[in-house]
Amino acid sequence: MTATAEPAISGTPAGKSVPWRRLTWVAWRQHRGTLTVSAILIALLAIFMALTGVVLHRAGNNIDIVGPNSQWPLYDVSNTTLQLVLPLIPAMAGLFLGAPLTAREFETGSARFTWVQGAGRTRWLATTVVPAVVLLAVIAVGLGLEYRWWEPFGHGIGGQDRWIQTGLFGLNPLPFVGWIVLGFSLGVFFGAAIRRTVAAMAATFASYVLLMFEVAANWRPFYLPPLHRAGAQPQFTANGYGYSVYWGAHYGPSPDVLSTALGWPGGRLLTGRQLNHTPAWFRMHHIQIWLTYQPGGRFLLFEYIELGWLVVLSAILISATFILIRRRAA
Amino acid sequence: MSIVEACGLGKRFGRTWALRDCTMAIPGGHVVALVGPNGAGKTTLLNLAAGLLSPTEGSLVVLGSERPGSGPARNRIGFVAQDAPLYGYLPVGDMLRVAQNLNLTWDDAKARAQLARLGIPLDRTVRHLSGGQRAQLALTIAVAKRPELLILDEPLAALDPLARHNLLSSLMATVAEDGLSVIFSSHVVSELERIADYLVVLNEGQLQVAGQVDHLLARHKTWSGPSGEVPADLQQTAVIYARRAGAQAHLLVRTSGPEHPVPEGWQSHPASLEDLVLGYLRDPAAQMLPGPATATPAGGSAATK
Repeated sequence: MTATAEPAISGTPAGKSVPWRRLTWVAWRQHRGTLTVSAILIALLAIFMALTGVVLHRAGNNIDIVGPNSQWPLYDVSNTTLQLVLPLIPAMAGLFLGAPLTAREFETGSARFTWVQGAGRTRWLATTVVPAVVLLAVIAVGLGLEYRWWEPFGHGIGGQDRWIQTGLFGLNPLPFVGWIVLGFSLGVFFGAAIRRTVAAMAATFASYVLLMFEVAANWRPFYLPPLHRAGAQPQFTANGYGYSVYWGAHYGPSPDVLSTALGWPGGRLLTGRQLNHTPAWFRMHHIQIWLTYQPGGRFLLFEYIELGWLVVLSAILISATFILIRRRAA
Repeated sequence: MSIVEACGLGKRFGRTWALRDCTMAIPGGHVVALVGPNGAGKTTLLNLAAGLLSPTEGSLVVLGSERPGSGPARNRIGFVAQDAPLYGYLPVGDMLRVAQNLNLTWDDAKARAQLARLGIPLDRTVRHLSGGQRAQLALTIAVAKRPELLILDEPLAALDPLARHNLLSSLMATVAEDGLSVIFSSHVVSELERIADYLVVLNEGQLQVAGQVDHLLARHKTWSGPSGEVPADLQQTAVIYARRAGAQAHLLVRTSGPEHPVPEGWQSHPASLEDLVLGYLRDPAAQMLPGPATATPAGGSAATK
């Protein structure tokens, strides 16, 4: 007889539940293939960042210099690669971990085996989902911190240009945790709702990508009401007017300028018709450049805000998954 | 203690009732055969008892007073669903260990001894087992958790005669050793008599027959006689099914007991379980249910049909 985790037990202990550690082993055994492949891919990405990061950090400011010793090509290629790959990791967590986790149980019928065992469907789901969420959060923090360290110019996610209006904001450690948990939760939810693996994967990917772009374009810049500030006088040319934004003296972290427009000294912006006036009219009325921006000091707060709503949305999706699993027929 | 007790139980999928107005109490200590044609509601009833479905109407308790699907019910019931779903990618040994870790009680030595006896290697993945081996593995797992009630949904379906025989032998040995109650659904009526001592017939979502096999067989006879005329005293007998073959008529009748008079010129033979089941399935209106609340008048079918 091969030794197993628990000795034979006689009789059913009343009021007892199957220990969590035993269910965790089941979850590990069920998904260890997927987890192993995922761990290898994540490790390769981390090693790639570490190796290129060391080279770029040693190069320092030489990255920008054109010449035989320039590391610009390495930076350009690796940064482009990372900016493509990293934002997709949360979607991959949903596609390859979340969606099959629930959908495959229905699709193969194995739910009709697992859910009638002593542990029951709720505890089975909890021991599968909760460790996965914790594991993904740890990975997200690690990758987020590593990418922040990797960025040698200081722009991108953590530096001078915060790029709130791009998907890269989501690569900061805190929002990255939220996005990766959300991607996984979307997969788990659609898997339980659709009960077909491929369809659930498609729904997960589509909804994740749509949400990612929607948030970057229309939600994130307005987590808090943006501020307005007078910039400089417009610079006029023979053919009309033009202006360039400048911030003047820096106070703390740089702001994220959302938009610039011409307006009255009081702050009211010019209408379309008023914009057709002559340069003399602009000068006479002391027309200013007005900047709409989010102050740099709000950057960390925005990270918390994004983490917060992503975690709440993920919790709602996972709760809905529990309800579906509890109520739906296998 | 009743192993399954239903009162007005019904289950609807969309607009279709898979099971309706099902009231019964199956006593413990039996091997119960649940029989019915396709779409009769057998799988629905078993899935309700296992807690995989919730009733649309009525109530159902198992093993005395347990709610199906509750923790105590899951611990006390071994269930093998139709097609014996397992994790196909796992080796048999790991499949056993998964099942062990999903349950509070587990007889590992017995499970492994049973698989060794059946010649099922522990290192072979489940998807590479034959249909018979897979069914045996599912049965072994269900029994290893030491249930008080074993529910098997179509365990014999898609098995060849030898595999069917082996599975039934395993099941009978388990019942003899552990004394557990068993409910199993099956299309293979000819095999039932070997193993079942309690019969439940479902037809078109309605309960048609429920009772101990001995009792049912004692009450039912096959009568053979001339098909030309129907004896007057036959009108007093519940005819479940009538078949004419040339000059002869064969009737499945329900009698009042061993002393029930046989019409003159007719011969009475013991009915087989297969005769009984097929006779009732051919007339969905006929019922034979135990107890004063559920008993219905005989047959309802005209003796002349």
